[in-house]
Amino acid sequence: MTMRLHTLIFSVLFLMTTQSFAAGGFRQLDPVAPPDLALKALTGEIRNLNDYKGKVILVNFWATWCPPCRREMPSMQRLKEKMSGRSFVILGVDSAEQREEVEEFLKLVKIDFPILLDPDTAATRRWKVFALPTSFLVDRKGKVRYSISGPTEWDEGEAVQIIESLLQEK
Amino acid sequence: MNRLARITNSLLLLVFSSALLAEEVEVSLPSGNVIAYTRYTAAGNDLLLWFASERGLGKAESRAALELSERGVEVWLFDLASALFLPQTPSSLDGIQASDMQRLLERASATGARLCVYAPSRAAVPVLRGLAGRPDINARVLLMHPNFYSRVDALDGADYLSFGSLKSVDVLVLQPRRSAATPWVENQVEALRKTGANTALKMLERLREGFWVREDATDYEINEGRNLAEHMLNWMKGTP
Repeated sequence: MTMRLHTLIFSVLFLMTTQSFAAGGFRQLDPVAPPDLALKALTGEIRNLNDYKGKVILVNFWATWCPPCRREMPSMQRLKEKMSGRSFVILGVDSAEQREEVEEFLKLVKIDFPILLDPDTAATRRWKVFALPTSFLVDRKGKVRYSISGPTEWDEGEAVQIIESLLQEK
Repeated sequence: MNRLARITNSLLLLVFSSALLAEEVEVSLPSGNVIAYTRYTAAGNDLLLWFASERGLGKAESRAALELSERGVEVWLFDLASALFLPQTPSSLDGIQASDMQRLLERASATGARLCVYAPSRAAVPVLRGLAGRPDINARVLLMHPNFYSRVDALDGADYLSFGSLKSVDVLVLQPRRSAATPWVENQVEALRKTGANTALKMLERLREGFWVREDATDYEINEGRNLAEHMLNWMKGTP
C-alpha cells in the first residue's frame, strides 16, 4: 500500500517535472523577434515562420515520448478548428525525433496542422527550449509575445483569451 | 512445488537476504540533523554512495542496491529529502549544507574503499558542492540527467550553478536520450569541465528521465530499470 502510494507520488512528480521550470501559466514577454524557424514538414515541404506574417502563430515544441505533449495535442487540434477561417496558425515542431516515430504517433492522434521536424534540435536550441512541451505565441507583427513551458488546454480559458487578444491587435 | 509456494519462497529469500545485507545507520551531521541511511554491506573494496533524486527513492533503486551488494559493491543508500523532511522539489536539495555532505563523504572515504557517488537529477547539487570542498577525497561521480541550472528561461537561456574546483573528481554524465535536457547536455558537460572535473558523457538510448520508476514506462524502460545494478557496475568501471 505504502509502495503504491509512493509510486503514485513519483508519477505525479514526474509529470510535473517533465513540464519543468515554469509552473503553469503563460509568461508575457517583451515583444521580441523570433529566432529563425525554417524546417521540413512531415509532408515534405519546407515551412518558414516568415511565410505566416500577419497571422497569430502558435509554435509548439513537443516530442512523441513526452506524455504532457501528447495530452495537450488534441486540444490544439480543437483550437485549430475553433479558429478556422481566422488569421491563426499552429506549427508543431517535433524535437529530436525521426519522421517514422512522428508518423507512428500521428496514426493514434488525428491532427491536421503542420508538424515540422527538428531531428538535430537546431531549432530547439535556437529557441532555447529547455522543457517539453514549450509553446510560443507570435503576434501579427511577427514578435514573440508569450511563452508557456508545460501543457495547457489550448481551446479554453487563458489560452483562448490571449490568442483572441492577439488577433484583435492590428 | 506449486507456483504460489515458489513465489512465497522467493519472497522469503529476498526478505531474508535483504535483512542480512541491509542495515539502517544513523549519522549526526554538522547542521545538527541526524539522518538515517540504508547500508547494504559487501565484502569487496568498492563503496557506492547512492543519493536519491529530489523525488525520493524508488523500489528499483533499493532492489539494485541489494543486487550490487550481493555482487561485492557496498552501497549506502540515501534519501536526503525524506531524511531531512524536505518537500520533494529540486530547490529542497539546494539547501543541504556542503558541510553535511562532506561529513558523509568523509565517513565513506574513511573506509578506505574505492569511492563512487551516484546522484540523479538535482541531487547533483549537494554532491558536487560537498566534493568541491574536499579536494582530498577522490571519487568517481555518476550524474544521471543532472540538473544544476541556476536559471532557465525559454527563448532567453540558462545559467548553471558554480561549485568551485572539482579537480579531484571524475564525472560521468548519464543522459537519457529522450529528455528535453538532451540538446543542452553538452553545455552541462562543458560547465563541469570548467570546474576542473574530468568529465565524460554517456547517452542512454531509448530511455527517458527516471526510466526506472516511471509509471508509464515502456517495456524497454522496465527492462533497463531491472538491469540498473548491472548498468551501475559498468558505469562505475567506466565500461560501456
